[in-house]
Amino acid sequence: MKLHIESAGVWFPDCENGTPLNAILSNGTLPTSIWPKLAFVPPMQRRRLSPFAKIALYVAHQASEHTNNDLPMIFSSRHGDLHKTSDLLADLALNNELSPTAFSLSVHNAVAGLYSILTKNKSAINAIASGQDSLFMALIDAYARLKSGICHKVLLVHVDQALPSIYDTFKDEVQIDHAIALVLSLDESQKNAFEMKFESHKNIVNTANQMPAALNFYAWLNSKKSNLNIISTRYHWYCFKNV
Amino acid sequence: MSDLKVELKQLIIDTLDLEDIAVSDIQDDEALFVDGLGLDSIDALELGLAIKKAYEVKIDANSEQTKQHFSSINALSDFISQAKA
Repeated sequence: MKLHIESAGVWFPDCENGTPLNAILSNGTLPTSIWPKLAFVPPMQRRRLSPFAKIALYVAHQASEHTNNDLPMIFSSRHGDLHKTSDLLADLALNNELSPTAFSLSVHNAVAGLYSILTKNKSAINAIASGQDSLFMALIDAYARLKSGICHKVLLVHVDQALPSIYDTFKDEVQIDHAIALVLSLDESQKNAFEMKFESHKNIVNTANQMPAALNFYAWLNSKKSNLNIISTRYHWYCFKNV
Repeated sequence: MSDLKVELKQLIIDTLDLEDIAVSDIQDDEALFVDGLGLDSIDALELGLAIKKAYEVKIDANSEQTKQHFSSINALSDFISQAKA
Protein backbone atom coordinates (compact mmCIF):
# COMPACT_ATOMS: atom_id res chain seq x y z
CA MET A 1 0.00 0.00 0.00
CA LYS A 2 1.22 3.45 -0.90
CA LEU A 3 0.46 6.58 1.07
CA HIS A 4 1.24 10.20 0.22
CA ILE A 5 2.16 12.68 2.92
CA GLU A 6 0.55 16.12 2.58
CA SER A 7 1.99 17.51 5.81
CA ALA A 8 3.43 16.31 9.08
CA GLY A 9 4.06 17.26 12.69
CA VAL A 10 6.26 15.89 15.45
CA TRP A 11 6.92 16.44 19.13
CA PHE A 12 9.68 14.90 21.27
CA PRO A 13 11.56 16.16 24.34
CA ASP A 14 13.36 19.44 23.66
CA CYS A 15 12.20 19.66 20.01
CA GLU A 16 10.96 23.21 20.60
CA ASN A 17 14.54 24.24 21.43
CA GLY A 18 15.76 22.92 18.10
CA THR A 19 17.24 19.61 19.24
CA PRO A 20 17.12 17.33 16.16
CA LEU A 21 15.28 14.02 16.36
CA ASN A 22 18.42 12.09 15.36
CA ALA A 23 20.24 13.47 18.40
CA ILE A 24 17.42 12.15 20.60
CA LEU A 25 17.42 8.76 18.87
CA SER A 26 21.17 8.24 19.15
CA ASN A 27 21.71 9.76 22.58
CA GLY A 28 21.33 7.62 25.70
CA THR A 29 20.15 10.38 28.00
CA LEU A 30 16.89 12.15 27.27
CA PRO A 31 16.22 15.82 27.91
CA THR A 32 13.38 16.61 30.31
CA SER A 33 10.02 17.01 28.62
CA ILE A 34 8.78 20.60 28.71
CA TRP A 35 5.18 20.50 27.51
CA PRO A 36 4.11 22.74 24.63
CA LYS A 37 2.16 25.92 25.44
CA LEU A 38 -0.60 25.51 22.82
CA ALA A 39 -1.39 29.16 22.24
CA PHE A 40 -4.12 28.18 19.75
CA VAL A 41 -6.23 26.62 22.52
CA PRO A 42 -8.37 29.04 24.58
CA PRO A 43 -7.10 29.21 28.21
CA MET A 44 -10.32 27.85 29.76
CA GLN A 45 -9.97 24.72 27.64
CA ARG A 46 -6.20 24.51 27.85
CA ARG A 47 -6.22 24.23 31.63
CA ARG A 48 -7.64 20.72 31.52
CA LEU A 49 -5.12 19.32 29.09
CA SER A 50 -2.72 16.70 30.39
CA PRO A 51 0.81 16.50 28.95
CA PHE A 52 -0.45 13.61 26.80
CA ALA A 53 -3.25 15.75 25.39
CA LYS A 54 -0.91 18.70 24.90
CA ILE A 55 1.64 16.87 22.75
CA ALA A 56 -1.15 15.21 20.74
CA LEU A 57 -2.88 18.51 20.03
CA TYR A 58 0.47 20.16 19.29
CA VAL A 59 1.28 17.77 16.43
CA ALA A 60 -2.30 17.62 15.15
CA HIS A 61 -2.29 21.41 14.89
CA GLN A 62 1.16 21.45 13.27
CA ALA A 63 0.12 19.00 10.57
CA SER A 64 -3.34 20.38 9.85
CA GLU A 65 -3.20 24.12 10.47
CA HIS A 66 -3.09 24.93 6.75
CA THR A 67 -5.91 22.60 5.75
CA ASN A 68 -9.37 24.05 5.82
CA ASN A 69 -11.25 20.82 5.47
CA ASP A 70 -12.85 18.90 8.26
CA LEU A 71 -10.25 16.17 8.19
CA PRO A 72 -11.35 12.68 9.20
CA MET A 73 -8.99 11.51 11.90
CA ILE A 74 -7.24 8.43 13.22
CA PHE A 75 -6.00 8.67 16.75
CA SER A 76 -3.47 6.06 17.72
CA SER A 77 -1.78 5.34 21.02
CA ARG A 78 -0.36 2.19 22.53
CA HIS A 79 -0.97 3.13 26.16
CA GLY A 80 -3.31 6.11 25.95
CA ASP A 81 -3.11 8.69 28.73
CA LEU A 82 -1.76 6.10 31.15
CA HIS A 83 -0.49 8.68 33.64
CA LYS A 84 -4.05 9.90 34.06
CA THR A 85 -5.49 6.38 34.07
CA SER A 86 -3.04 5.08 36.65
CA ASP A 87 -3.70 8.08 38.93
CA LEU A 88 -7.42 7.32 38.69
CA LEU A 89 -6.78 3.64 39.44
CA ALA A 90 -4.65 4.59 42.43
CA ASP A 91 -7.49 6.79 43.73
CA LEU A 92 -9.93 3.91 43.29
CA ALA A 93 -7.60 1.55 45.13
CA LEU A 94 -7.42 4.01 48.03
CA ASN A 95 -11.20 4.49 48.02
CA ASN A 96 -10.77 8.15 47.16
CA GLU A 97 -13.41 9.87 45.10
CA LEU A 98 -12.41 10.27 41.47
CA SER A 99 -11.79 13.66 39.93
CA PRO A 100 -14.73 14.27 37.55
CA THR A 101 -12.45 16.21 35.20
CA ALA A 102 -9.86 13.44 35.02
CA PHE A 103 -12.58 10.81 34.66
CA SER A 104 -14.30 12.71 31.85
CA LEU A 105 -11.06 12.71 29.85
CA SER A 106 -9.93 9.18 30.63
CA VAL A 107 -11.28 7.28 27.63
CA HIS A 108 -8.96 6.34 24.78
CA ASN A 109 -10.55 8.73 22.30
CA ALA A 110 -10.79 11.69 24.70
CA VAL A 111 -7.98 13.65 23.03
CA ALA A 112 -9.45 13.05 19.58
CA GLY A 113 -12.74 14.35 20.96
CA LEU A 114 -11.06 17.44 22.38
CA TYR A 115 -9.42 18.10 19.04
CA SER A 116 -12.73 17.81 17.21
CA ILE A 117 -14.35 20.26 19.64
CA LEU A 118 -11.47 22.75 19.41
CA THR A 119 -11.40 22.72 15.62
CA LYS A 120 -15.18 22.25 15.17
CA ASN A 121 -14.34 19.16 13.14
CA LYS A 122 -17.41 16.96 12.60
CA SER A 123 -15.71 14.21 10.59
CA ALA A 124 -15.40 10.61 11.69
CA ILE A 125 -12.66 9.69 14.14
CA ASN A 126 -11.26 6.23 14.81
CA ALA A 127 -9.19 5.52 17.91
CA ILE A 128 -6.68 2.67 17.82
CA ALA A 129 -4.56 0.83 20.36
CA SER A 130 -2.56 -2.09 19.05
CA GLY A 131 0.51 -2.63 21.20
CA GLN A 132 3.84 -2.06 19.47
CA ASP A 133 1.99 -2.05 16.13
CA SER A 134 -0.30 0.88 16.96
CA LEU A 135 1.19 3.34 14.47
CA PHE A 136 1.23 0.79 11.63
CA MET A 137 -2.33 -0.35 12.32
CA ALA A 138 -3.33 3.30 12.19
CA LEU A 139 -1.58 3.60 8.81
CA ILE A 140 -3.54 0.57 7.58
CA ASP A 141 -6.75 2.19 8.80
CA ALA A 142 -5.76 5.38 6.97
CA TYR A 143 -5.16 3.43 3.77
CA ALA A 144 -8.47 1.56 4.08
CA ARG A 145 -10.41 4.77 4.54
CA LEU A 146 -8.67 6.53 1.66
CA LYS A 147 -8.85 3.53 -0.69
CA SER A 148 -12.55 3.02 -0.01
CA GLY A 149 -13.10 6.57 -1.22
CA ILE A 150 -14.96 7.76 1.85
CA CYS A 151 -12.43 10.55 2.19
CA HIS A 152 -9.54 12.06 0.26
CA LYS A 153 -7.34 13.02 3.19
CA VAL A 154 -6.99 11.79 6.74
CA LEU A 155 -5.18 13.16 9.75
CA LEU A 156 -3.30 10.49 11.66
CA VAL A 157 -2.08 11.31 15.15
CA HIS A 158 0.03 8.91 17.17
CA VAL A 159 1.03 9.72 20.74
CA ASP A 160 2.64 7.88 23.65
CA GLN A 161 4.44 8.82 26.83
CA ALA A 162 7.10 7.16 28.93
CA LEU A 163 5.24 4.69 31.18
CA PRO A 164 4.43 5.76 34.75
CA SER A 165 7.13 4.23 36.98
CA ILE A 166 4.64 1.78 38.55
CA TYR A 167 4.57 -0.03 35.17
CA ASP A 168 8.36 -0.27 34.83
CA THR A 169 8.34 -4.08 34.74
CA PHE A 170 6.33 -3.96 31.49
CA LYS A 171 8.82 -1.83 29.58
CA ASP A 172 9.77 -3.44 26.25
CA GLU A 173 11.06 -0.41 24.33
CA VAL A 174 12.80 2.89 25.00
CA GLN A 175 10.57 5.08 27.16
CA ILE A 176 10.19 8.51 25.62
CA ASP A 177 7.39 11.07 25.39
CA HIS A 178 6.52 11.56 21.73
CA ALA A 179 3.82 12.39 19.21
CA ILE A 180 3.65 12.47 15.43
CA ALA A 181 0.94 13.59 13.03
CA LEU A 182 0.56 12.98 9.30
CA VAL A 183 -1.99 14.24 6.83
CA LEU A 184 -2.24 11.38 4.33
CA SER A 185 -3.79 10.96 0.90
CA LEU A 186 -3.58 8.79 -2.22
CA ASP A 187 -2.83 11.85 -4.35
CA GLU A 188 -0.10 10.81 -6.83
CA SER A 189 0.84 14.44 -7.45
CA GLN A 190 2.11 14.58 -3.89
CA LYS A 191 5.71 13.34 -4.28
CA ASN A 192 6.36 12.82 -0.58
CA ALA A 193 5.20 9.21 -0.33
CA PHE A 194 6.07 5.76 0.98
CA GLU A 195 5.00 2.17 0.50
CA MET A 196 4.35 -0.32 3.21
CA LYS A 197 4.08 -4.13 3.43
CA PHE A 198 3.85 -6.47 6.36
CA GLU A 199 4.01 -10.09 7.42
CA SER A 200 2.63 -11.53 10.59
CA HIS A 201 4.70 -13.98 12.58
CA LYS A 202 4.35 -15.99 15.77
CA ASN A 203 4.47 -14.05 18.99
CA ILE A 204 8.12 -13.39 19.58
CA VAL A 205 9.47 -11.65 22.62
CA ASN A 206 11.07 -8.45 21.48
CA THR A 207 13.90 -7.60 23.83
CA ALA A 208 15.85 -5.29 21.56
CA ASN A 209 14.72 -2.21 23.53
CA GLN A 210 14.02 -0.32 20.31
CA MET A 211 12.89 3.27 20.00
CA PRO A 212 9.10 3.54 19.70
CA ALA A 213 8.08 2.74 16.11
CA ALA A 214 6.52 6.17 15.55
CA LEU A 215 9.81 7.99 16.18
CA ASN A 216 11.84 5.54 14.10
CA PHE A 217 9.29 5.91 11.33
CA TYR A 218 9.26 9.69 11.47
CA ALA A 219 13.07 9.88 11.47
CA TRP A 220 13.16 7.50 8.50
CA LEU A 221 10.65 9.61 6.54
CA ASN A 222 13.01 12.57 6.90
CA SER A 223 16.17 10.60 6.15
CA LYS A 224 17.92 9.64 2.92
CA LYS A 225 17.37 5.94 3.58
CA SER A 226 15.08 4.06 1.21
CA ASN A 227 14.15 1.17 3.52
CA LEU A 228 12.80 0.80 7.02
CA ASN A 229 12.26 -2.58 8.68
CA ILE A 230 10.55 -2.76 12.03
CA ILE A 231 9.94 -6.00 13.87
CA SER A 232 7.37 -6.08 16.64
CA THR A 233 6.19 -9.01 18.73
CA ARG A 234 3.64 -9.96 16.06
CA TYR A 235 4.55 -8.31 12.75
CA HIS A 236 7.35 -7.46 10.43
CA TRP A 237 6.78 -4.05 8.82
CA TYR A 238 8.58 -3.13 5.60
CA CYS A 239 8.54 0.47 4.39
CA PHE A 240 10.09 1.83 1.17
CA LYS A 241 10.44 5.26 -0.34
CA ASN A 242 12.27 6.78 -3.31
CA VAL A 243 15.31 8.79 -2.35
CA MET B 1 -12.90 40.42 52.18
CA SER B 2 -13.39 37.58 54.66
CA ASP B 3 -10.78 34.87 55.00
CA LEU B 4 -13.25 32.21 53.90
CA LYS B 5 -13.92 34.04 50.65
CA VAL B 6 -10.22 34.38 49.87
CA GLU B 7 -9.78 30.72 50.74
CA LEU B 8 -12.62 29.72 48.43
CA LYS B 9 -11.20 31.73 45.55
CA GLN B 10 -7.84 30.08 46.01
CA LEU B 11 -9.53 26.68 46.19
CA ILE B 12 -11.36 27.37 42.92
CA ILE B 13 -8.15 28.49 41.20
CA ASP B 14 -6.16 25.48 42.42
CA THR B 15 -8.85 22.84 41.92
CA LEU B 16 -9.82 23.98 38.45
CA ASP B 17 -6.29 24.85 37.23
CA LEU B 18 -7.19 28.45 36.43
CA GLU B 19 -3.59 29.30 35.58
CA ASP B 20 -4.20 32.83 34.37
CA ILE B 21 -6.57 33.93 37.12
CA ALA B 22 -5.64 35.49 40.49
CA VAL B 23 -7.71 35.73 43.68
CA SER B 24 -8.23 39.43 42.99
CA ASP B 25 -9.77 38.63 39.57
CA ILE B 26 -12.75 36.85 41.11
CA GLN B 27 -15.52 39.16 42.36
CA ASP B 28 -17.56 38.14 45.42
CA ASP B 29 -20.89 38.70 43.69
CA GLU B 30 -19.89 37.60 40.19
CA ALA B 31 -21.48 34.49 38.66
CA LEU B 32 -19.08 31.55 38.88
CA PHE B 33 -20.70 29.53 36.12
CA VAL B 34 -21.33 30.29 32.46
CA ASP B 35 -21.45 34.11 32.33
CA GLY B 36 -19.07 35.41 34.97
CA LEU B 37 -15.99 33.30 35.55
CA GLY B 38 -17.13 30.93 32.80
CA LEU B 39 -16.99 27.63 34.65
CA ASP B 40 -18.94 24.65 33.29
CA SER B 41 -20.74 21.57 34.57
CA ILE B 42 -17.58 19.45 34.96
CA ASP B 43 -16.11 22.30 37.03
CA ALA B 44 -19.24 22.20 39.20
CA LEU B 45 -18.65 18.51 39.95
CA GLU B 46 -14.94 19.04 40.56
CA LEU B 47 -15.57 22.02 42.81
CA GLY B 48 -18.30 20.18 44.71
CA LEU B 49 -15.86 17.37 45.44
CA ALA B 50 -13.13 19.77 46.57
CA ILE B 51 -15.50 21.68 48.87
CA LYS B 52 -16.85 18.46 50.34
CA LYS B 53 -13.28 17.37 51.10
CA ALA B 54 -12.02 20.72 52.41
CA TYR B 55 -15.04 21.72 54.55
CA GLU B 56 -16.71 18.38 55.23
CA VAL B 57 -20.07 19.68 54.13
CA LYS B 58 -22.78 17.63 52.45
CA ILE B 59 -23.79 18.70 48.96
CA ASP B 60 -26.96 17.39 47.39
CA ALA B 61 -26.13 17.04 43.69
CA ASN B 62 -29.73 17.25 42.50
CA SER B 63 -31.26 20.06 44.51
CA GLU B 64 -32.13 23.49 43.16
CA GLN B 65 -30.64 24.95 46.33
CA THR B 66 -27.23 23.57 45.43
CA LYS B 67 -27.35 25.56 42.22
CA GLN B 68 -28.03 28.65 44.31
CA HIS B 69 -25.19 27.83 46.75
CA PHE B 70 -22.71 27.64 43.88
CA SER B 71 -23.87 30.78 42.11
CA SER B 72 -21.21 33.13 43.50
CA ILE B 73 -18.45 33.40 46.08
CA ASN B 74 -20.89 35.20 48.41
CA ALA B 75 -23.45 32.41 48.14
CA LEU B 76 -20.84 29.69 48.53
CA SER B 77 -19.32 31.29 51.60
CA ASP B 78 -22.79 31.76 53.20
CA PHE B 79 -23.61 28.12 52.48
CA ILE B 80 -20.40 26.82 54.04
CA SER B 81 -20.62 29.09 57.10
CA GLN B 82 -24.20 27.94 57.75
CA ALA B 83 -23.43 24.28 57.15
CA LYS B 84 -20.49 24.46 59.53
CA ALA B 85 -22.34 26.47 62.20
